[in-house]
Amino acid sequence: MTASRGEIADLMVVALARMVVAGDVVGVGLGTPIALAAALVARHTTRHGVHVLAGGALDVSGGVESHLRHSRDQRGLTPGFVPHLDSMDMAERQAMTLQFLRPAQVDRFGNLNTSRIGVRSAPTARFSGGLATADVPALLPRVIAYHPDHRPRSLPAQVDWITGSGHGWAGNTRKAAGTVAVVTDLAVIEFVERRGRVESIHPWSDASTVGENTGFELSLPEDAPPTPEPTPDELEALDLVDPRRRRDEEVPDPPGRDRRVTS
Amino acid sequence: MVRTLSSPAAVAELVPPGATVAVGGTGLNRKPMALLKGIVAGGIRDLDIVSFLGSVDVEYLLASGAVADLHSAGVSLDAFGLAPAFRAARQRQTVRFIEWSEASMVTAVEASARGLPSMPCSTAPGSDVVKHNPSLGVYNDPPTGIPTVFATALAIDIALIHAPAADAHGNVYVDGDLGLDGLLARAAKTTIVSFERQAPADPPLAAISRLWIDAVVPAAGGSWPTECHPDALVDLGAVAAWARSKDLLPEMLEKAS
Repeated sequence: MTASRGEIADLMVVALARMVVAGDVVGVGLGTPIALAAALVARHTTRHGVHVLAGGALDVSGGVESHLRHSRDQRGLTPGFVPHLDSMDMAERQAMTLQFLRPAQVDRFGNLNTSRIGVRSAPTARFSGGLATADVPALLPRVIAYHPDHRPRSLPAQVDWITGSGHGWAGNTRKAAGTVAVVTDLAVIEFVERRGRVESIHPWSDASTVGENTGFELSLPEDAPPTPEPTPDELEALDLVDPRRRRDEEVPDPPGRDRRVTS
Repeated sequence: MVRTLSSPAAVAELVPPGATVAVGGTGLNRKPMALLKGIVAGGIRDLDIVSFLGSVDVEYLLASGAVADLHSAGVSLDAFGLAPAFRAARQRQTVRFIEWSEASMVTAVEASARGLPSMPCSTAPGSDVVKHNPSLGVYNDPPTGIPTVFATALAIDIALIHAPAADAHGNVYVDGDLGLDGLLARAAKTTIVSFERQAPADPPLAAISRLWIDAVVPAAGGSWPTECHPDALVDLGAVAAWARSKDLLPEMLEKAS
């Protein structure tokens, strides 16, 4: 069974949004429309106070497009603005509670790699660099990763480079759980006691495909349920926050190319 | 006394080869491109560049062969994706890239601004960024014994900043996010600011006081193709062209003047 980019993006967004809880202040970085759409959908579907901080602007009215606008155009649309350095202090004191991160790799401990693929002396691919990924997993109450191309290289036993360590830091006076989950184009995986456990499998996938395409051993309950399809409420919210489907841009075209398939 | 330079090209006289130069602005916001152009035109090479969140600034300096070491928490072209010259330089290892996280670089610059040898930061000890960056190390925090990342002060010779306005006294005004620029101005031995236009003096409202500034220079459009609110928007077409070919960069900047 195959799925379109749009179906994958929709289910990934709502799966992420369902992990947002009342009171969360979700920080969203640059160039990650799936993360942005998920935070905004959660603002619509969670009844009690979810806040979104994107590019320093708080709770910008409007959808994904108005968040991608320049801060000058957001002036009338936001009740609050946080300078970049202050947003880092917000993470440190957990005035921000959750971030969705899109690393190149996530490993069995939830370690995140946003830096490079391959060995250090002869890397095969380079990415932007450490950014805040080395900082936030140790600081925020929760970090949730997502990866729209689930394959052994994306979910290896060990990342090629630990940009962000998957667990909290003893020096943090507030409790940070590290990477608590990863949502992919095949499944929702939670990290429980430093071990990946499949919570649900997307309708177009199955347990053997998930297992084959993961570079580490997963706890894969036989009765892992299918990830529930987007509800009418969620679909309505998706349309409202991202009518131009910017979220699809993050899914490879075609999706799941060269994936290991068991037949 | 704050000097006023006659043109951005004059910056070359203040920057010795091999200097550690910090570039202000973040991402596609307020990059001091006119000043960087002055450095490249002056043939100043072998620079250690510090760019907190780099974009076309790093791209241009790399394409011009002016960089020895590059310190950054990340270089990208935002929505336009990976930065081609940065990517090529790292792949071929033509420059030494010292990777930082955001928190650790802010802390290293802050230590420098405060004249401290090092400062603890909130970066996680388990990160490979910490393991491989010679300025970062994990030590037991003396009062508590908790393993903590400490950042050695990052010594900066020259800070280059672009701002929308400066007054006749050399106070600098910024509308919007100051990024790391306030700390850079305090940490650097010499701070040079290019500006879009002269503003009436209102010193208490200055984003960076003249006390931290050595020279200012008028440079309207000096952040092109990055933005400088409220005077200039990002030139999206130029950044997109930039993302397509790293060889275009020096040529495009040459034409922009």
